[in-house]
Amino acid sequence: MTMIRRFLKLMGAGGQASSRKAKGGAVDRHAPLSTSLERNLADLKRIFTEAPDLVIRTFPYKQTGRRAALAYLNGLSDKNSINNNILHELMQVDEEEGTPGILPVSIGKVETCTSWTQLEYAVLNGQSLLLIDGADRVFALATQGWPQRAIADSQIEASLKGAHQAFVETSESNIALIRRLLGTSELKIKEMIVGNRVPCKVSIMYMEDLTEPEFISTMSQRIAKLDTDCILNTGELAEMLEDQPFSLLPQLITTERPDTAASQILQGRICVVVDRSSSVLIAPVNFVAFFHGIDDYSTRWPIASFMRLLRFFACFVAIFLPGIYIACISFNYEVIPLDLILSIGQFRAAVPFPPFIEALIMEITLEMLREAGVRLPAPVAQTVGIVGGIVIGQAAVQAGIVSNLMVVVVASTAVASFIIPNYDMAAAIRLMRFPIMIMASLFGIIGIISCFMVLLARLISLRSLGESYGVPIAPLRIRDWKDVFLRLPLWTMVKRPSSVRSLQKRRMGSSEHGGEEG
Amino acid sequence: MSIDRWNPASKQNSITTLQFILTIHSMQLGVAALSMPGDLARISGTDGWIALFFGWMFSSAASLIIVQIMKAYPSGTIIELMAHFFGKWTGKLTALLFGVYMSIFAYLILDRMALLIQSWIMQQSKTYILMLLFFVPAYTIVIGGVRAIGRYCEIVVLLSLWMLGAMLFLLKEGNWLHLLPVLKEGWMPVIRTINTTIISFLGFESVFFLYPHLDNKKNASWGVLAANTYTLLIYLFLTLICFLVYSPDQISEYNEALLTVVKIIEFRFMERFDIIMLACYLLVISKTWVPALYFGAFSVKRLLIVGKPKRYAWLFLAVMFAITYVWDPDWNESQNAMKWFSRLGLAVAYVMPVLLWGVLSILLRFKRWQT
Repeated sequence: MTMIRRFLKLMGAGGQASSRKAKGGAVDRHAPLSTSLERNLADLKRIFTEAPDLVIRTFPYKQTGRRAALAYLNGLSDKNSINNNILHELMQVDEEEGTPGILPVSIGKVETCTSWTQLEYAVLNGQSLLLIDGADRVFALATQGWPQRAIADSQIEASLKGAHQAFVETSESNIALIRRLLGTSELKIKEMIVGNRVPCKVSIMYMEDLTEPEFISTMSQRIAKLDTDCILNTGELAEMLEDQPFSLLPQLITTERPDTAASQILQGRICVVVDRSSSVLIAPVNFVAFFHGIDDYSTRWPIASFMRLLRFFACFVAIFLPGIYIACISFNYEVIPLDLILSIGQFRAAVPFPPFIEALIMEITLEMLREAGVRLPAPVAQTVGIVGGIVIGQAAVQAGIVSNLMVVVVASTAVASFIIPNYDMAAAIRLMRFPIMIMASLFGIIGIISCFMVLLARLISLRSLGESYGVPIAPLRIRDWKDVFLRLPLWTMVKRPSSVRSLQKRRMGSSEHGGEEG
Repeated sequence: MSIDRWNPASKQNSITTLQFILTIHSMQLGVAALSMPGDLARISGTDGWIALFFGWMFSSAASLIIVQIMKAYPSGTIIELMAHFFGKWTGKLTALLFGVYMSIFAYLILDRMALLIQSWIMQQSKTYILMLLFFVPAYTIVIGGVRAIGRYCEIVVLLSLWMLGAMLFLLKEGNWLHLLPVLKEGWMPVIRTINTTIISFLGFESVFFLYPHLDNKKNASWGVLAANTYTLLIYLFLTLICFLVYSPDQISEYNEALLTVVKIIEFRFMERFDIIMLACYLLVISKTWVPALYFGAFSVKRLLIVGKPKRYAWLFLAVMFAITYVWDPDWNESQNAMKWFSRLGLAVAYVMPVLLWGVLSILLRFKRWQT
């Protein structure tokens, strides 16, 4: 009985409201601050108990002669600017030098906080708090300076000719990277906070004169509705914002590249920058956008078009090739000419497994090798690749576990799935081929067609931020096809893709036509 | 948050003119195309293709009349229209009629599709198992409403264009002399064939349900014309290819002349191209019965009012499965049922619109009804 009662009690205490109260001791976070420095410092210490990295420095404020204190978290703040631009000025500048009523600190951003919630958030974000005796407000000085990675090339979205800067883990830097590319005041940023326990700043970026206002309102509504402890990663946010979370296909693009983000914003899409995460979200997107890379626009158009066609072909191969092979070998062998089936039969004679098991063994081995390669440090990963390659390529065939042709099929499938530029889509496609292999082994070519119909049906009914996912294929927007399967010369793309519903249709030749048309 | 995807009046469910055209066309082109060249040849020899033009004329006329009828009440389907002009119970009766008609339409074609698979590819599988394979996509599309159907038709038409191209390979086997002399036995055999061709254009009665969804209603008239014409062109193309390749006597020996003719195409790496073609043609057939299934379920939902669309979609699929499980029609039974159904089709798609149009145009002359 007591166990159950305790369990129920725990369940009851699971809510966030109570967890909040439990953390801060007796301090009421919404109460106004006291005017006494001692009481405020005591409250601050009570909020940050067991926090040895909280530094509180009390000193006389020279301008007014009152006592003041500066509080900051050691690792999150920039000590140089605290020492030189705050402490030094506050302790040295006297009444004659400074202007009365104005803080004599040489720091760009100074906010005033009036409640403990604001104070807590500010300190945890690396700001320094300046508490002055007798004042009912506290100044939060922008002294952020946490350990940060240098801006480097993107690892998962490598590009040959695009920019070699990728996002880092600070939203200020990421926003700056996008702003550098889109230097116009039309680029607007809407800030929101997500997370009850650990607040995280989320910024929605868009072009005010391009982006359909509905997208922005839908996105901010969805973000505002989120009721979660904490978001550590863009992927988490994407999963909670998706229209159909049970679908295999990704419905939002996450990218590490500022140039990709900028080009999407320019088309009228919105971009969501999440603090502490090195990738940003793009929405709304359609299926074909996952097959476009930023290099498409920096190479010449015939080459870019060829690459695109290659990617779509690779997508088809990666999804269907193992299934088609299984169907042809085990079910619809009448499709294969006699000579060919005899030679395939020769290879297959030594193999004890049915084609489906054979394919499954190979596919799973390959997936394991790939995963092993990701986890291991680069030099070891190479060894794994070589060992795996030999095991798959030679030994397995000689040992009679799999047939020669199966190796060819699995290898081409693997190569095909590497071509797809977006990691999320490539992963979805990798997973998709297993059900298709099962259906192919049960129903042959009809099973594959049935799976294909399911795919089509999903493709047309999925939505991304309320917009149709299959656009511009179904619903058909033939004018957008200049930039779908092919990449026609840039000067033919006078208008923005109509599938994004941007407010200004024209992106070229606007000066000839007397300004942008609506 | 969730939108009623089955509400014809909602702007969220509107379809473009192209989707309108292709959905009508999709419902017309289905299993009939496979056997049509043989059927035509059996009645009127190689002149059968001329009769297609008559079929096209009749179907275009009937679909234009349907558009005229629907103009009287543009925001609702035929069920709301009947309820509006003739009272609630007539509306219910119409819902019942179309519910039955469309459900039989969907069932017969789905069953025929399963039979085709069974006789050409998977002889040892049960029909109901084969039907089951297509339930998941059908369910996904049906609950998406007309918009999903329009998009599905769009994408499938795009994806099946290559098949027409592949048929062009057959032209080099063709002999144009097979068509000569034109009208060798006069007009009579051609006129006797019209009945068959009229039936093969069935499916345009979907305008009764599609019209309220069309976003630009001005395009409805030329839209139905375009749909009928596109169907005619494809029928003509397929029939002529069969007539050119086969001799006039040989062609009447085959049940599915269109599939047998594809057998001729062969590559060094691929035999039996007809199996690939049939498998891909299943997509084309699926876009015939999936809309019909939706219209059937929609009508029954209008009749019963209660319940969610999802439940109706499941219920319909389950009933179809159960019928096949119990009855399991063989090829001949399916053929007979189709023949019987085509008479119903003639009544619903040709006779009813004409009568209804007559009644409505008289009614609308009186002020009282002009609302």
